[in-house]
Amino acid sequence: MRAPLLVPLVLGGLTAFAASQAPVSDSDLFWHLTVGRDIAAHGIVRLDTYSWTVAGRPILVDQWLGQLVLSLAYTIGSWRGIVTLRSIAAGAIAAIVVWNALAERPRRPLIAVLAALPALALSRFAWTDRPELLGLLCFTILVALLRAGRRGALRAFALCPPLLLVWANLHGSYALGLGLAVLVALERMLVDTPRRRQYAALAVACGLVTLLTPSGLATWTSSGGHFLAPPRFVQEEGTPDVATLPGALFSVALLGALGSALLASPIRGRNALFDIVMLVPVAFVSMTATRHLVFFPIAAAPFLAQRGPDAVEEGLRTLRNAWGDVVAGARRTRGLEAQRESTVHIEDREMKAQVEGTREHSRPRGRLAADGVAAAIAIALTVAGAATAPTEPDLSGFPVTALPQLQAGPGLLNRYDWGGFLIWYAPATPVFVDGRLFPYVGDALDDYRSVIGLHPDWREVLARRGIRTVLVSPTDAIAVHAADLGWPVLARTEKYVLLRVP
Amino acid sequence: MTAWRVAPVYLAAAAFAIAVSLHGGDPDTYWHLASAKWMVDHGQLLRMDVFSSTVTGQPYSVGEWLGQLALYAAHLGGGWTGIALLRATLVAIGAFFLTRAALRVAPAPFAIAITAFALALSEITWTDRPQLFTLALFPMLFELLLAARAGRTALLAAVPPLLLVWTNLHGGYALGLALVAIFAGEAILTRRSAVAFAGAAILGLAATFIDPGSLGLGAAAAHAASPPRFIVEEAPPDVLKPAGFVFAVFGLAALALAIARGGTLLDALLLVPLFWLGLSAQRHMPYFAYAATPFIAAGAGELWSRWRPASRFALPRPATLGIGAGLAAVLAFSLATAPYAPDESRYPVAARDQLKATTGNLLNEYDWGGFLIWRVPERPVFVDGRLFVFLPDVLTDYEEMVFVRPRWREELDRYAIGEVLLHPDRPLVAALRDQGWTVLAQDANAVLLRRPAR
Repeated sequence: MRAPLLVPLVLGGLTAFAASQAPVSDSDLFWHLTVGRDIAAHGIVRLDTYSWTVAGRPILVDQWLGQLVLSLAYTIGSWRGIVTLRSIAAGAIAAIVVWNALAERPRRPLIAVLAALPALALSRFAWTDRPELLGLLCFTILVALLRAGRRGALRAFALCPPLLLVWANLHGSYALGLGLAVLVALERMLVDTPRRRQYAALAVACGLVTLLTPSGLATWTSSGGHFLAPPRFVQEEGTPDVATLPGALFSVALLGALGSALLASPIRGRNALFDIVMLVPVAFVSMTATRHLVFFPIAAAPFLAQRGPDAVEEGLRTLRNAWGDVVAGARRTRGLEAQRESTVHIEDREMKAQVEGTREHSRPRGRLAADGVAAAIAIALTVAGAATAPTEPDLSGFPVTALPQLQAGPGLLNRYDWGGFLIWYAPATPVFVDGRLFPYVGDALDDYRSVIGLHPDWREVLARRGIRTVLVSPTDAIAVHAADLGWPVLARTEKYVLLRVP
Repeated sequence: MTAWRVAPVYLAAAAFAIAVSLHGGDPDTYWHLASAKWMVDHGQLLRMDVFSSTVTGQPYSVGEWLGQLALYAAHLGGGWTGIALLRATLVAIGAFFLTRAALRVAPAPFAIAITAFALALSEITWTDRPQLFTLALFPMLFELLLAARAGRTALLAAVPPLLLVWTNLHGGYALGLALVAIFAGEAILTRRSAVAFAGAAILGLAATFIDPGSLGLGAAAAHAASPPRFIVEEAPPDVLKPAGFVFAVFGLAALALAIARGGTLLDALLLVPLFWLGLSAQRHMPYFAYAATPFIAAGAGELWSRWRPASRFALPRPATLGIGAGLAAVLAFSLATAPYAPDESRYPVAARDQLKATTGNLLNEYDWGGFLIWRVPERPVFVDGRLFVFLPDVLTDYEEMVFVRPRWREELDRYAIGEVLLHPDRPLVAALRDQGWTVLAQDANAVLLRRPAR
């Protein structure tokens, strides 16, 4: 039975509208935009030209397509174009997540929405204007394709290689998709032995297409290195914390999946292998860093929709068995009816779906009309979001009024978080460090930390690097100590202080 | 009796041999010892601060008076060797009961292997503190409850006294109480020995109130729900580090096996909340691993028997004897070569003599507070690992100064800090050097600075 589109499309439209109401404010967007603009003008940028600490050194080019897409959105619609791109991606993610869950429980939209809720809520924290959001969209699509393939739509598997080709050029998170696609192909080889050569070819194709990037083989090593050694000092790369809202939402999905699997009657044999392959590796990746948390709830939504109600029913059955003689007879009757409605084994479910699918075919017009109305609502909400989206970025977190005071040429030590902003708004002043991070790991980042954190060698770093001005937060140790030492203040607000090094 | 029945003893012996070989020297060991010494010297419970310059005289309780006295008794009896032997004994007790719990439901090779991994994960908490008692008592209670659930309900009579002692040993008694509540909940929901389990839970709860210095259930729960993240063991698990990785493997193995073979109501009631607890802070990871050990071992054994139905896991008696002899030799070797003295290389040893020779309020590194309380009792500390008594004001002020935030000078003057003992790379050290503070002592670990005369 095909899942109805009404609920996914309406929820997707609402999400798109909500996502369009926040202004641009992500520091990393600015350097992505700059790189995208330069790619459009000169081709792929392989050496750094934005900093004075690592100028001329090789930089990662693994997000070139995502940067180009962002730049294109900006060219078309300025900041509103960026917001609209974000809203479309966020809306699509929400719609596909709900659709994935609904595909497991086509007649229970409320359960599907509940199962998708952790993913929908957590995806809010991924509404950043970066290629990362496009990578998340690709992941959501991949989950849908793999699940559709598992349900018998084999052509869905064939769409995985093209998806991975695009994804590998959009964002480094493609590595998770590649791993998942290969694991599912291996699982299919075990379960669906007559087609094992096709699945083997699928796995090979998925691997090969990810090499079709400007980085070639290096695209694998850069993703792997990032995954195994995330820079923990960056907040979003920190260890996931269940005491925070994103961590709590993740734990709801993870513990919900564990509880559902424990309580629901097990799907014996190889049928369980698909769910293990889809959930366990993604759960591990999600546990590695805060920015990865969202992956598991997306992958788990269909599982929760499928097994959650069974688990609840099984728990109630246990209670009935134990306390049945205490419970009133009428209530027991209702319980038995509910139990009959429950679909415990996937085979039963598929059989029911076939029967219901036949019924559905008998009334295609009504269904098509509902889907059409839903699509119209979703489009209307997205357009309304774009029309009412903020037209200017929110720069309240950046040192805007310091810009006229900045000197052209090298010599500025800037706060890490403001590097992207300066690359876009002060192109004549190269940065000391910015959110691209990896070019700086080593000397430049160590020196940055020494000065900002007033480490024992901070004076030596100032002299060796030839730092002439410092743009930091007034609460940074260097700013507080510079005030004690009487360094000249070139500009100052509550947010920043620009100091001249004597 | 099969040869595998000796497995709990063997694993306990192996755990003892490893635990006794570890270096002591945890910073909290020292203030626990100092607290117990004060109680023995004064013949009363320590209910207020007597070690710091910042909160001296303020009431507080960490609820571990009996654990502190036990630690001190071991120290009085055998010095640091006594502490090491107590540590190894408690770890061995935990290993013994955890192996028994796993052997109840799983083939021996799987029970032993999974138990060994769980014990390896718990190594991060083998520090010389009262929490070692929780590490021993949790598996003991778990095994007792499993035995009671299997029909030996008379064992439930041991629950209230066990919780009574545990409450006075360590704040982790709340975990024990939760464990009893989970088993009681399952017994009530399934209507199996409900009265016996509910009775044990109610009496156990009542027993936890008999504690003159209790941390209190509310405080224990608040600590679990809002752990102080700047302390490494209270930070969330990092699955890219060895202990966090093993924890993740336990969690994901439980998830995979649950998908493959389902579970019971008790499994869900146990594993779901304890997995959350493990995710909340590194120090809680072992308890999830302990609770998951029987489930994972049983699941792995079942999968193996599906794959190799003819497998028999018999162990010949000579092999059993040989392993026993080998373990005895390892145990003897460990006892003979163990480094009983604590490892104090990370402490400001070079500054010790200077600290004894000078006076004035000291601002010290948080991690060194316990060491200073025990080794330099003449100098009250600014802050130490007792944490709660310093929250929130003292700790906020400490960070304001150490990290050179805007009010650092005012705070330094307000507390009349005369000397500062910190890591050399702290921002305050650089700032004070520029302000003309004198270096009294310095090594790779620490620098002791003195305020210049006005």
